Amino acid sequence: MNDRQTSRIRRRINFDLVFGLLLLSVSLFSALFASLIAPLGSDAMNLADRLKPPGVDGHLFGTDAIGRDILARIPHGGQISLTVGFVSVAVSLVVGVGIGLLAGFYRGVLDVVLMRIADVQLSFPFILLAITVIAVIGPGLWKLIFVMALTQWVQYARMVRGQVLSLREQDAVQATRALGASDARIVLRHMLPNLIGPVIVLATLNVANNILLESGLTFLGLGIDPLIPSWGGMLADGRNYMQTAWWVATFPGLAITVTVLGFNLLGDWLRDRLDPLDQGRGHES
Amino acid sequence: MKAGIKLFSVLALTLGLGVALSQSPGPTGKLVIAQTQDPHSWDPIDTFLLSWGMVGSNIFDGLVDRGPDLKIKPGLAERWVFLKNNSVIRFTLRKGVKFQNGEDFDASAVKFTFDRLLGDEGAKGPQQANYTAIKDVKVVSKYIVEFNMSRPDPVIITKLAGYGAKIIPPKYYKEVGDEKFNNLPVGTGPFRPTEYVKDDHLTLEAFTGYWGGSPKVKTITYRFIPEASTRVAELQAGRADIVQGVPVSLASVVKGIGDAELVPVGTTTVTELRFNTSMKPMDDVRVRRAMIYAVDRDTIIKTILQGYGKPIASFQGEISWGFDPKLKPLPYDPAKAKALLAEAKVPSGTEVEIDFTDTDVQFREVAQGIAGYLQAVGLKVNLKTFEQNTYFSDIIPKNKTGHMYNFGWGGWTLDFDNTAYLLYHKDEYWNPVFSDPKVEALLEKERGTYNQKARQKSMQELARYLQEIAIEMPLYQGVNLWGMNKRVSGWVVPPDDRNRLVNVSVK
Repeated sequence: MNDRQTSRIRRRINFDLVFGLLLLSVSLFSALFASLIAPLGSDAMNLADRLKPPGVDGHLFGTDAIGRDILARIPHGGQISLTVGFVSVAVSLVVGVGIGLLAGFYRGVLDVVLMRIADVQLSFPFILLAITVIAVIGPGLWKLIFVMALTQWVQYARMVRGQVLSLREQDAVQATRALGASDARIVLRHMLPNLIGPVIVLATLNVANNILLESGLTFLGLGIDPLIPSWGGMLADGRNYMQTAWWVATFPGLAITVTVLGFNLLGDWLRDRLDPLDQGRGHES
Repeated sequence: MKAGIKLFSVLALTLGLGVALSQSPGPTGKLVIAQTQDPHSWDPIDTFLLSWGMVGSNIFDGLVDRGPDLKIKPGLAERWVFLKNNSVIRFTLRKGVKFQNGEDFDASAVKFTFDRLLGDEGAKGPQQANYTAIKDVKVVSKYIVEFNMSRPDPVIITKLAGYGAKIIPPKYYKEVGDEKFNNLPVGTGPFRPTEYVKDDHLTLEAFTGYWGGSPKVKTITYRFIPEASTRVAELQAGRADIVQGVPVSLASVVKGIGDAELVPVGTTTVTELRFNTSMKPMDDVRVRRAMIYAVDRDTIIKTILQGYGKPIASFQGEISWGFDPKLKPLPYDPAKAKALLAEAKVPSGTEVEIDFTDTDVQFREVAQGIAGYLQAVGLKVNLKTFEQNTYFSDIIPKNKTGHMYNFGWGGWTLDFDNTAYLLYHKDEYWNPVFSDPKVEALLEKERGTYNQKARQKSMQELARYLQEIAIEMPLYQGVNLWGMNKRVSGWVVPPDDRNRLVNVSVK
């Protein structure tokens, strides 16, 4: 093995990737196997057992103010948080990439109209819009996902449109067109693969961002039903016990940190690998 | 003493008040109160909120007053007498009383106040409904007024100590208009509002010409902080002297603050889950009773409320006139609940919704506890939270609630009449859907007489009937927890949130 090969491997497998994947696998596996970790479900309540410290009576993470096992609620809460993260990003990604491709490829009136809609969308601060929309339509898991998708498709649309504008002028694409390829073929076979890298990076970081937003909104009472275990809701339950029963807020807080950090590290690593503009900066990390 | 004067002059200078030092020993010091809610209008006829009463009782007086001992005593009227077979009440007014703007208090102010309350302006607010038994107010002489009654109202004297009957200055009101009066009103009370920033704070200044003696504190600032842990943090940091609404979960934190103490006070306020009888399956009395049997309310009080609360059988506390010590709450009996649900053909997994306000951290726990019990008898529970003002001005009165919703009631007249009429009489603000001929009949019977024994009997019968048809799940009579910095002295904690601060001083 020569020096060049070693350094290439080192560049690929760095701290970001290893630690990111490690954190993510902890949170993904615990969410996937929530019913194994907590076979009794997350709702089992016993008022007589409220606010038991970690380790007492078999509650490894302690119990909350209603006497529910926190260890049982965290993986179930993870399912909610990850659902929100993945679904909201998937929806905004599909919508955003679609609109970006259309606008960039066909230009003209369509481009102007779509991008002005995007401008309008960009001018709303997310929290303000979320609070307004949720005040009108009421809180709930799917409504929250709807609001996130509503505000985030723009990021993808903008990015993809920009890429398409430059790609469509490239010789390879022009040649394909000259050879008589259909619009669909040009877009799907020649453009999409070339621009998907940065989109994936953005999506990964947005999953983390949306998990935080869900927690934040639920903490504010604008998100998910308090009965459904979600990390933000558990934090909100624990805020009054910060000084008397630290474990109620600490463990869901840690869960959020682990997951979000995992996604961010993975996103950073992906950016180093996939973003053409960042090529060559891999040495630095 | 010298230090005191020095401190006072520093305060006066820093506050830029330019108070003449020769006035000492006048009111000194600054008191900061953190309360849960901003009622958004300080006009007494626009409100029913306890958060108004906390402040308004320092700005205004009524003809009749009620102190922290909940006993009726003369206010701006020195005495009153019932005439002409109870159809006229004659009030003799206190002389020499001035409003905070210097305007004289006399019979014309009383007439103006009640004309406004009973007229178009009053019709816009929730207070008019309390005083409709008054036909009109007649000025007999400068210090004598007569109330002509259109029908008997056995609770009228108590009601005159209420928010809506606070006396306002006619000249000032006409001069500044309704909007300015909502923000910076003037009354005859010991403190005058000087600055109001919506949802942030209201500042009151001492009114040294107060008829009941000069207040001891110079400035009071009410800060509106909906978030309980923030209020407690402000007490911890010494930025609030009196903190309202300490949730049970933070009681031990307040106890642990060195220069503060926890002050619990039994209240007249009762808490319940009201059933929305217009929704299926809540239209079935068996289902409603099943809900009550399913929930172990005693355990909720003992654990989540840590004993700061008392079980109730009807929607009133022990000191309410009409309270029946023989009426017991329905017991906790999950087996019976299941049987009733089966009998009503409510399938397992039926969804029911419980609504409450998003800042109420205490009820958030109670609601989750109730949900746990309801889930144990096979129901699927959804909890839904609303913003406080939307909840009370839109969701409840316009019947947009789910199957059950959290409701609290101050019971300020200490008489079940007021509670029952506003909550169970058909088409009232707080009762958009429920109506029952027997309830209407009992209410009419009770309202038609000044015979207190007969009234009590009717109201006890009403409470029993309401329990039988299970219109609500009575939960508990509350204990309010206050946090107080030890530098505050002379404060008598009121059970009805009407926090009178004229005799309070700060070190």
